[in-house]
Amino acid sequence: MTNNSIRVALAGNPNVGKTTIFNALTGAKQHVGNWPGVTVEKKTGSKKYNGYEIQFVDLPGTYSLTAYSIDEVIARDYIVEEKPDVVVHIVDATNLERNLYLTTQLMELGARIVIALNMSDLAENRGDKIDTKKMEKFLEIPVVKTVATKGIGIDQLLDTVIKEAKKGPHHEHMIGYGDDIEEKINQMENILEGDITLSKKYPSRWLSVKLLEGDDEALKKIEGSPVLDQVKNILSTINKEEYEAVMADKRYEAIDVIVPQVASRHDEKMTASDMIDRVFTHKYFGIPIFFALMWAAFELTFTFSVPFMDILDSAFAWLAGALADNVKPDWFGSLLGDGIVGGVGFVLVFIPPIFILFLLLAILEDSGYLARAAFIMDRLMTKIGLHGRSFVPMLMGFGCNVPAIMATRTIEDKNDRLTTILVNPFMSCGARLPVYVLFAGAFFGRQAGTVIFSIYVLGIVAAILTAKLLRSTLLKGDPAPFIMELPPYRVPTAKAATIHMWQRGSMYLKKAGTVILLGAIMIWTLATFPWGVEYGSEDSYAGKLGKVLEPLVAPLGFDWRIAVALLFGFVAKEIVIGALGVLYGLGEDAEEANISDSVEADPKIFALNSLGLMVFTLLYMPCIATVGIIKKETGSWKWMLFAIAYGIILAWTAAFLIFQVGSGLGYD
Amino acid sequence: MITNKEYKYETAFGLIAGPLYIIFGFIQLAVGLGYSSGWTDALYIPKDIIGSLILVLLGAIFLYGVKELNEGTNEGVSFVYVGIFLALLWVVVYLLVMSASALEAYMLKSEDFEEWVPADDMKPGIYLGILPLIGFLAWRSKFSFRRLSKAGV
Amino acid sequence: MSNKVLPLLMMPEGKEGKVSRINADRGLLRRLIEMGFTENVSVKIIRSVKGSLIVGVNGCRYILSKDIAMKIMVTFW
Repeated sequence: MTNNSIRVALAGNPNVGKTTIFNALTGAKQHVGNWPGVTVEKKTGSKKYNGYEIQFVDLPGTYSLTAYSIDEVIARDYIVEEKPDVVVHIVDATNLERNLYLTTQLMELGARIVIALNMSDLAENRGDKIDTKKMEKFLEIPVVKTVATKGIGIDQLLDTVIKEAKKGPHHEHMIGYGDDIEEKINQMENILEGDITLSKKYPSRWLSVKLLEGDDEALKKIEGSPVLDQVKNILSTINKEEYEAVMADKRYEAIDVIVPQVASRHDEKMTASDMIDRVFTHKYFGIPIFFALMWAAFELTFTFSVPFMDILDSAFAWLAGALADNVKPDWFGSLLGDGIVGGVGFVLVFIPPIFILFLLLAILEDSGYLARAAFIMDRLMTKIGLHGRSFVPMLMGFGCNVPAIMATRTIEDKNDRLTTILVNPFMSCGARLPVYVLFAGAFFGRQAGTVIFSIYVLGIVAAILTAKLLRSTLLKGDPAPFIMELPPYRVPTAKAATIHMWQRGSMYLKKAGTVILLGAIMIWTLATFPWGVEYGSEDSYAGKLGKVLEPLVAPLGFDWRIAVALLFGFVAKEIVIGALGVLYGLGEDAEEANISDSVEADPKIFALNSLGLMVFTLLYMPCIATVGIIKKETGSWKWMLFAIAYGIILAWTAAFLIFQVGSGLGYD
Repeated sequence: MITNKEYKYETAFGLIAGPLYIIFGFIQLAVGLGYSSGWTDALYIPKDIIGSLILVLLGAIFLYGVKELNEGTNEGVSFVYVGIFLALLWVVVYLLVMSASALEAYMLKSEDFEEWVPADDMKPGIYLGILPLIGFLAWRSKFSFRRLSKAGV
Repeated sequence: MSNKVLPLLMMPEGKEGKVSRINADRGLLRRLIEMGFTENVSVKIIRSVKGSLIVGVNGCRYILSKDIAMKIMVTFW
């Protein structure tokens, strides 16, 4: 600690309310970035408190601090190498045993720890009693009770952090591993202390323990050290696997001694959460209830949002017309009206359904239901060669595929993960929704909801078939075993859900102001020039480009306008709508009040090919951001290209079949 | 047949609500598949197949709860409570849809809704909701979620 | 009352037992221990649907896949 500035790291298991505590501690002063070299999110924030400037870093949520996952390596390297003044360990009061396991590891790192005993209200409500004084005594660590969701205990936590930070240098705690292992640890420590730079950098007991456990990252840390050979000598005399297991057991033994003395647990046969799960994870009712909830979400997203969209639609149409008619010179009025309001405005019209969808997804996630979906779908997923766990990123894909693909990181097995990544783009994201709303609304009237729901289901089916195909050809193998925590149900709060909705929704708005704005201007330029041609006509550059592309999509029943829209839709799928808004020249034609009317009035678009267009938009190549994340997460150009090519082929085939079979049967 | 003493009211509730939801579900399914007649109109049965399946599902959840309760499995009461929760969730969804239509018809005066009256969006999923509403009020304390924590930000 | 040792997968829903042995390789064993599946800890089958399990350990709930549930041996009575 220097000059009243304190550096604090937050550590803890997943699902213990770490983010809530982080938010309560830092308020709005946050910065989100990435840990160096990896795409794991790094959140930092600061707080001025009692004359101290406290810097917080939110470490990834982990159960342990081994070298097996990137999250754990990041967390422990930060503590060992950056040496924060205090590590706040957030412990779930309802679940001491498992949480204290991480505590034992933090202790070994020599960190100065403060325990935030979170969700203590929940523990007390169910009748648990935790004696924090005793806990402090046994662990030699200060313990502060918190209820982060209500802001309880936060100030006390800050006071304790400051007090601990003043104590200065790091603090060694001990777990005894039994005579045999302790002897080896001693030998190892003596050897390591022979290397001054090494023992200055890392706590030698911790490093010894890790080396004896056969920790690869620890071995890397001593590469090039003069004591390397001696270390290897010792390691060759032991069975590292056995050591690792015995040491883990010893840590739990220590916990098993402490917990009964500090906590009296009221044993409930059935928790409220278990009662709810009796129904939601029931063998017959689980799947139907899942689909009923999904249907409720879609019903709300699409039907409830219609009037609000109509209001925005009329407002933007009026604005586009007013700008195009009244702003001089004409070309500038057209740029503003047709290009910018026509393109960006009509993407913004879809704010209501997208925000409602994001809100509902946030409620499903906050309540803990999403994790149940993994269980409910496990059997089905096993049939296609994946596990239930892969289903969670798939559902997240309904929001946006980019974070959904990043969420596949929790899947350890390479082939499982690759399959989950490659099928994700078929989960219809929020950006594709405007296309469905526009066309289903224009051509399917009150059946629009059902049509849109079917499109989403088609996306799931495409994902399932693709997974099955990949698992039986390119990515053969059985799914790797999995274990996943099922957090208890929580009551979603309006505040939390709104914030989560806003976090996702604001990305949509940001996109509208940047990528889509540029796309709209570009399409307007193509539609206007060469100067003098009729706006958006076949003689414009857009028309010429469209005419080149038209033969490719003619068998699908698409005209050149759609071809251009789909081409630019690669950048971001909302542009499909934005581009049509621009190409239909909404500012120009006062007759057509809004985009759905222009689309309906165009004889080249009718129910059958609009259905084909929706399906094509669903399946064809993922947007540029998704392609980027596929490249990054798979680390392979080959799989990225595969995702693009496979999507286009599938989309083309599906739209072709819809149009040709449908026409053959006499639909239009 | 109510054999569970501890939860006899919940069992009775399931015995009434279960069959009612299932019967209305099947009537709505028939209408969805094309059957139509004066009495179905009088009952405000819409052409909505997915909605009919949801009614059947809700009825089945109530009846399954009755089955477990009568077998002496007290945890079966979860089916009654969760069923009530889901049925009310659907009432809320339908009412929001109705309010959206009302907005279209009365505020925006949109063409598609010129002849809309609230009865157009009336359906069994809404009026049957009176039963779960009574259940909800009767067993309010069970829905307080006191033992669930709140989701954090 | 006779004690039985069976894989977790074979335990009926609602039953409670104690972990007696885990026949897993190193990486998996470590994961399971981290989650609290230590020797003699009580485990309860909350849900068992055709091979997918929800198991309660120390007040936590976990979803386990079939293959893991085969490797955890449990004593129950």
